[in-house]
Amino acid sequence: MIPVIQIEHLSYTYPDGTKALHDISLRIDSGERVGIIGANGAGKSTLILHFNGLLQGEGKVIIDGIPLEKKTLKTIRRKIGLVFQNPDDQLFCPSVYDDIAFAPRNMGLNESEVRDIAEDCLKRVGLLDNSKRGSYHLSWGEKRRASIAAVLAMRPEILVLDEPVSGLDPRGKREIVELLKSIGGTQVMITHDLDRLKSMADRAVVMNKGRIIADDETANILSNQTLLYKAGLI
Amino acid sequence: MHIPDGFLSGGINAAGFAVSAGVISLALAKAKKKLEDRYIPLIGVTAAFIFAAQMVNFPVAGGTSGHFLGAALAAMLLGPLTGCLIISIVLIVQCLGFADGGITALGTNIFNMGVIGCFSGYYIFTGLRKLLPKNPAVNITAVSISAWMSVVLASVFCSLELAFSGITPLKLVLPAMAGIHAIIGVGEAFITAAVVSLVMKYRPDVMDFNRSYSNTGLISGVKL
Amino acid sequence: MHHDFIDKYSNLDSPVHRIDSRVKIVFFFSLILICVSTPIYHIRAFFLYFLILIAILTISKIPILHVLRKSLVIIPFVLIIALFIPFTETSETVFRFNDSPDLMMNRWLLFWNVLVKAFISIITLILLNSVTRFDDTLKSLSAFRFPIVLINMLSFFYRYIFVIIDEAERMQRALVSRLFRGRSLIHAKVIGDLLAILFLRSYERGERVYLAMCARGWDGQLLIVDKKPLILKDSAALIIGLAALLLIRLWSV
Ligand SMILES: Nc1ncnc2c1ncn2[C@@H]1O[C@H](COP(=O)(O)OP(=O)(O)O)[C@@H](O)[C@H]1O
Ligand SMILES: [Mg+2]
Repeated sequence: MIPVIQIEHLSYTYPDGTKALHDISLRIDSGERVGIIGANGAGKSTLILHFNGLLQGEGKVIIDGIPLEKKTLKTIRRKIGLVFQNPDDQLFCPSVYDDIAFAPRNMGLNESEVRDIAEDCLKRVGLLDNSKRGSYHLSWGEKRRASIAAVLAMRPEILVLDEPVSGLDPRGKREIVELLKSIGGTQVMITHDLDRLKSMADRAVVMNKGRIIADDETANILSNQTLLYKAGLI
Repeated sequence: MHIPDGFLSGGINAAGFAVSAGVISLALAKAKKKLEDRYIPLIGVTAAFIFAAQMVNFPVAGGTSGHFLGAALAAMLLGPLTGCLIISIVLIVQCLGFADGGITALGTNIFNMGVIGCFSGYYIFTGLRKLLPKNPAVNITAVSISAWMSVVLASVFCSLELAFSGITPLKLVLPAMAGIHAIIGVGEAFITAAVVSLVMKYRPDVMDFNRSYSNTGLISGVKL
Repeated sequence: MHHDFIDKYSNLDSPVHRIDSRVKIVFFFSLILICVSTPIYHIRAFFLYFLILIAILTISKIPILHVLRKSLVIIPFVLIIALFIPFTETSETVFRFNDSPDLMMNRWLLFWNVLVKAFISIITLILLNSVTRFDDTLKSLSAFRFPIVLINMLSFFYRYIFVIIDEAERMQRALVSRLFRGRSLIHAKVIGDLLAILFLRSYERGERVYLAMCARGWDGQLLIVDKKPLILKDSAALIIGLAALLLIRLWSV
């Protein structure tokens, strides 16, 4: 079986000289739910920005068998649904509906197809009644769900989420965990929430200072106190 | 300085509209060519910042207060044409969303605060920079002077338009407007200088006149 | 923190709110243009314009106090003009491009002219944004060949203005809680620093928004504004409205 995400010897340095990733190799198979954990500044966000070529470092990124390069960017961006950490960055349209419709419209669908997809996605995250509102007026949890809906509207094969439960109250967190479970498919998520990691991911990748320092079943990672300490997670 | 409807003569308003529409189309055409699509969200968000910054008030003599304008700042940060676009966006929203500034006077208001404000601020600054020795303290002085000038010049044009519309004599309105704005301009100068010096420190790459710096922004590495 | 100060009341439901926003824009803009071009001694015309506004205000259930409070922004300008009146010799207002020469006869009439027109126009603009959602207004502008790029920029503005104001308020609260009282020029440096940080945060937010757009398949195309044809009821409302304005303007001499 070909992996859905395959990364080989990836390194990235920001234009200002910050070395954010060192020689990362990672392989994720179809249907896996993978958590990426690590302290602030470990390079997690930088890594996932490489999945759909928003950043391009040295090394290889192969998505669903397709190597990432200029002419495959469009195909790959449709396969990867990237949910950003801050919903205010993700929801940039004047109304929730426009935001959900953004990706389908970019895909060239006509307005009635767009409306069907948008309503379906809004229903799945439980926001159908809020579609006319401005994203500004939503609560943080609603914003988070709306960002997920906006990405689901692309029908991505792989869902990649940057800290999907951070900043939410316990009920908001529970709602997101349940939502992600109901969506299913291949999921990669960055998180600091070790308590919920087990219910969200079967496998955990630990990052520290731009490197992957462990990659194992979630239960094994969570029981390794020295590792978690070294990664700055406890 | 937001002139309401009913103050200016039709001729002045028509001229204001013509000039402003011309400058905006020029700015949009240039944005499309040179600045690439990444500047569309950036300009919108930066305009929102200028709007928020305009909520800063400073007291002027006699209990009245003036507010930050930000035209010179926008021009120095992102260039005079982009600055114009940003101030125009702010003025359009203030007119349509807040009834602050009239719809028939919109062109004239954009001309005063956008075109005059941005171009005078920018070119006085670049002119001073050429004349004066190159060191940071002098630079900041040049920023302050041009910010002050941009506000005063905008108010001078505002008075000219009111006078030529025949509602008040020039010899009364000019000293009054320019006088008030000479005071407001001091606040404008201080704030613009503070913002510019801090931005130069943290993100020199975003400054218009520093575009030769290596680009360090998040989007500089992004490939479409 | 929730702001709805741009288009407060635009979410109410009334016959006026339900009219297509393009119709409302054309009507209200025409009202302003026609009002501004009406000679001041057509007292009856101004009275009728005002009556139309009151009628719309009543039908749309917008509180009159809200409209009056917002209309206060014209006061500084009216005051400047008013202050000069005692010092103005009639012959001094020599620059004229439009309006009739007899206006120059009486400076109080001149003042009245400015006041009435400015007041009616401002009430009209306030009504427009009270009965139309601001993003609808923006989208409708495309029907009048307003550049789409500019509409897109305005949409981003509208989306982020509240986020940025919230951020500014949080920063300001942090300042105040550290006993900062920004009233003098020495404090301009502090306010300047705050604004610099606010600018950098806004700019960097703009950068992240751009990333988010690319991640969702953006390839430089602008947000689409869907154009629906006007329905019969809206067209009828527009024609009746414009006809009424023209009638008033032409016959109420
Ligand atoms: N735009 C940028 N320019 C320069 N350095 C950056 C930028 N974004 C992040 N970094 C740096 O790269 C490193 C990794 O950051 P990031 O991937 O955001 O970490 P994480 O998501 O794990 O908290 C950090 O040292 C951070 O300061
Ligand atoms: Mg991160």
